[in-house]
Amino acid sequence: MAVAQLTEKQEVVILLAEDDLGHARLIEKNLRRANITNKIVVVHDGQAVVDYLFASQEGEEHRPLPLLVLLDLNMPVLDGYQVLQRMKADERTKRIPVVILTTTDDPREVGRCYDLGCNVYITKPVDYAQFSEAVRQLGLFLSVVTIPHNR
Amino acid sequence: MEESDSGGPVRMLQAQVAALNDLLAVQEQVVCEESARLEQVLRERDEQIQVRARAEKTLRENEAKFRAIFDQTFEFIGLMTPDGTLIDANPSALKLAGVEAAKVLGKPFWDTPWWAHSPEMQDKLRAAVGEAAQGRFMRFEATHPEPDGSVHYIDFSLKPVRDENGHVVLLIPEGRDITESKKAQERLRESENRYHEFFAMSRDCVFITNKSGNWIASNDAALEMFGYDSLEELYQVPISSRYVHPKERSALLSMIEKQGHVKEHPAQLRRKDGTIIDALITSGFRLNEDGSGREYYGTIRDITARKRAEENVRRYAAQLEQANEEVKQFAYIVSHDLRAPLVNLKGFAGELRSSLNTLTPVLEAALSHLAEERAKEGVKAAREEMSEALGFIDSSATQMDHLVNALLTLSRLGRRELRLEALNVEELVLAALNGLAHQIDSATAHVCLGALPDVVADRTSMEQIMGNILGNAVKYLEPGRPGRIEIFGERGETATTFIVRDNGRGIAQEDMFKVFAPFRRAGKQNVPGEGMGMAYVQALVRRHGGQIHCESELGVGTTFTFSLPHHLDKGGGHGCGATD
Repeated sequence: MAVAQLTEKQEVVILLAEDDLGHARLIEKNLRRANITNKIVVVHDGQAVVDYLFASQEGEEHRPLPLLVLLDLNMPVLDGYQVLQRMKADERTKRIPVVILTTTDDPREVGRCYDLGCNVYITKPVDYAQFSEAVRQLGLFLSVVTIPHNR
Repeated sequence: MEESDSGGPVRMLQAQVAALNDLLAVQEQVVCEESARLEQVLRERDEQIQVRARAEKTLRENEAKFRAIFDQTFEFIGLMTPDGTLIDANPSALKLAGVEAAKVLGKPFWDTPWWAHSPEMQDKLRAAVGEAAQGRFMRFEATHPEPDGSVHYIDFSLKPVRDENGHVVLLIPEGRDITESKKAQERLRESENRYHEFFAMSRDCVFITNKSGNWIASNDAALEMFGYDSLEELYQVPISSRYVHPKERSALLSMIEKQGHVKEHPAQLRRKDGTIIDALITSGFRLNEDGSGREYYGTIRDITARKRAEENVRRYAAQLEQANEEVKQFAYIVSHDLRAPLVNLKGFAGELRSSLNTLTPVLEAALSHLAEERAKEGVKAAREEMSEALGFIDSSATQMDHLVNALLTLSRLGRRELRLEALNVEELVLAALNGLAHQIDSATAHVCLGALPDVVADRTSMEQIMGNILGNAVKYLEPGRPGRIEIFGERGETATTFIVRDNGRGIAQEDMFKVFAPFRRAGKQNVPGEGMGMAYVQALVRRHGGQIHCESELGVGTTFTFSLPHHLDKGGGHGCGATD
């Protein structure tokens, strides 16, 4: 079971980048409701994501890896695209799975994100049942992709 | 007489004889001389006769020549006495009047058919004859009508002939038919007038200049074009000095050099007041009359206004393009950003309900300690009122989400990337009808398929267009009347037109504006729908560069007509702008 696998891997941290505080709260609540117990770090702009990722790579070993990044697209300072671009351009971060969470399912945006190397694209639902299911699927996904790289 | 003695009568006789002999000798000599003179005279007379004969021969020959000329010449010639009596007329002249010599000779010239047609002409001739009889050469233009109504113009003259004493003894009337040359002249004048009119009326400046650009001639349009009051003033500034960019003139001249002419060569020229006109110059050259140099001739067209209009059109098009882009962007942003708070509204309404669900039993337990009346109120608030409020928040957020999604869809259709391909429309329509088969059956509708030409279009778009129009046609059939839906198309000159006609409930005139408007639905709202179908259809048809319109009559039926332009045929993925 995906959730079980995710929860077993206690070291996986979910980094949630979301500038809408309500959204961040709802995402967090729903992840918890779906029995996802991983540590969730919430940041509110793109720069904070970059800071977190690269600070963790430079000596501050207390920040655990692997990570799962949940990335909103419309964020101040650096937007989701820019964060994604930097992550995928850097050897140290390019294998971190990235889930784009955004309000639109515009095919151009979806395409652009996949082009930049995002792993999953999820439209923020108004109905959270659907969202929780998606996150559960992510857990499965995460366990599949992270294992080979952690060997 | 030979027997004679000396002296006496014999001697006398001898003397007399001798005297007689002398006399005889003298007489003989005289006779000789006389006869010689006579011979001389005779000889001379012979010579004179010969000379005269020769002269007469020459005269006869001359007369024949004269006669030949007189008779054969194309011109009209006659002879008359100074009082105006006609004594001869050549065949040309007789032919003109259509008379025989006998009918006219011996008559006053003005009473002959040449002149009888016009009393005015007769008077003129009579006066001229009077003048000519005084020894003056007379010449005037006469007319001679033909039976068919046409008029011959005759260059007529009267020449007096004088004898050795200087008396006028004859008048020679002479006439030349100048009708043809007169007509030619007339034509020439007319054509000259016409060209002059062109020249004068032309709104273009028509010019002739020399190589260095000095004006030789121009029409009045040049004045208006360059802002002058007189040509003299205009001519003071050579055309070469009017160029804003002298390069344009050298380019023009070298082009004329190469091709012999230029057509609509663009140039900017300066007016008197310094303002600049955009012009198109058409010009060629020829050698001037003495062959010493070139003359450049041509026209200058002022396209300043046209250019400004074109620029305006370009600017408007760009503005429109931009506005269009902004609207799309706006629709996108609005729908995108509108969803963000909705996510919260709906999400936290859910959170509230979940909290309420947790709270309600706790509350009920706690309330049981209160007075019954108050406990009831508390339970009612939690179970009914809060729940109802959350229900409204939730359903409104859901509805709002649908609206936003619909807007988003509409804005996307407007910039949808079209994948153009040749489509079998008949197949496509049959597939759409197949999807509606159940509704068609239950409405007992009859579908009538006409010719459906193939088109080049985006398949998904075309499916949505046909699907929506046909769906509406079926949906809005009048219950209780056998339904009939006709679908047909026609390939026209620039576009293929499709028509879907139903005999459904129709749309009231005052509701027609709602047909293609988003979220608007016309007529009774007894059929479910979000009111976006035809808005999508219109967006898709327009995206293809086509047009759609609707005709309808309440209670009679509705007809949708849409067209897809042929230029999509050549399309390489784009070419879907409405204007190209």
